[in-house]
Amino acid sequence: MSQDPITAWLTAFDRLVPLRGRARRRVRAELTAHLMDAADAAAQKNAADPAGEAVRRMGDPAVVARGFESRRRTLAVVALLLWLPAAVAVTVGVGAAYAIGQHVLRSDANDPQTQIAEDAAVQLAQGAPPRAVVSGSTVDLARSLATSVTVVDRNGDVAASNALLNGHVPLPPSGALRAAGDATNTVTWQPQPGVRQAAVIVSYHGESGAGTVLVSRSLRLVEEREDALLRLSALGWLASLFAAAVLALIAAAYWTSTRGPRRGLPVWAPA
Amino acid sequence: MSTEPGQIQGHLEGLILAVMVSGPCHGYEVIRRLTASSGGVFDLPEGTVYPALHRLEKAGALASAWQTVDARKRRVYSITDAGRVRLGERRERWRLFSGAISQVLGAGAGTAEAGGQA
Repeated sequence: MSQDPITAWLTAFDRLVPLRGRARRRVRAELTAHLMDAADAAAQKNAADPAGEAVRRMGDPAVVARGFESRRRTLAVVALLLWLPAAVAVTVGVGAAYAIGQHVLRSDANDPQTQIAEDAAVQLAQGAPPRAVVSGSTVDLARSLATSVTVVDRNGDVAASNALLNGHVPLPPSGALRAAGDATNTVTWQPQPGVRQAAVIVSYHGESGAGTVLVSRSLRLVEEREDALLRLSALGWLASLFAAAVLALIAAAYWTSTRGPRRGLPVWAPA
Repeated sequence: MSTEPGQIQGHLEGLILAVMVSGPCHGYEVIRRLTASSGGVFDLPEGTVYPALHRLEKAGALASAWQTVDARKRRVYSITDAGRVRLGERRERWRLFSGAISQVLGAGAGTAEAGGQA
């Protein structure tokens, strides 16, 4: 069953108007009275379709409904739509910058150990005794920032070492030593909670024997730098999000003032 | 003589306040007054006047209350003191704007006429 023009117009308006509750009921009551007045006036002029004439004069329900959009709400929605992609881009950008920075810091932390371990492996392969590649002073892994060297023979026993933790020479899991194979294995080694080491493990094979060289040093300074990088990144991220929000608001304000919800309102037709 | 669509855009609120000065009225009557006072030149989609009425009320330029007029319940609007002040500002702005337009268009017409006579 088709609706009469006035009911159809009001139904379309109801569907589109961005108002709720009392405000919606009030506008609807006003428009209903208006349409009935207009239909009465058209009937008095002997119009063929008074209700249709009233609806025609009322205009497009979508245009009328759009006139009730709150500028503030539209501003917020437009600003949010502009800000969201910017926020995603900023998050991805800052996240990538942090990840790269952290990677560089962590990679740099291995450089001295790599050099020492490779040199020691060459010396051991050429027949130097394990004691010769280990410096004399003991390195307490829990406190010292110095580089420690441990030579492990093919049986997994410590051949020489200047590393000490709680009175013992600590060793990483045997799998980490075996993984060195013919190449270099770089690992983050935590011999006990709170003691983290950047460890480089290099295997050696010589006439006098074979084994692995483990060189490590504390990650404390690197982790402090990583924390500082994280704090800076978080600060930069928040500042960028805020700046993006301000720019989005300015752009949204410009958009709503030039092409906002009330664009085309009121549209006056020539008489 | 007729207006082009959009020509009145930006002036509706001032026009509504102007027709309100003659007394309180409901939305339908606002349209009738606008059409009558413009000599029938303005013939707008009538629904568009309601968002403007609501904005003016929200801004304190109009006050409204339900009344039963001709056995039909209607929202009747009246201009407030703030609305009269606002109308005064609108009129002043329009006076300046229309004066400037007349001056420019008038000067252009004079030049064209002078050019035509030469």
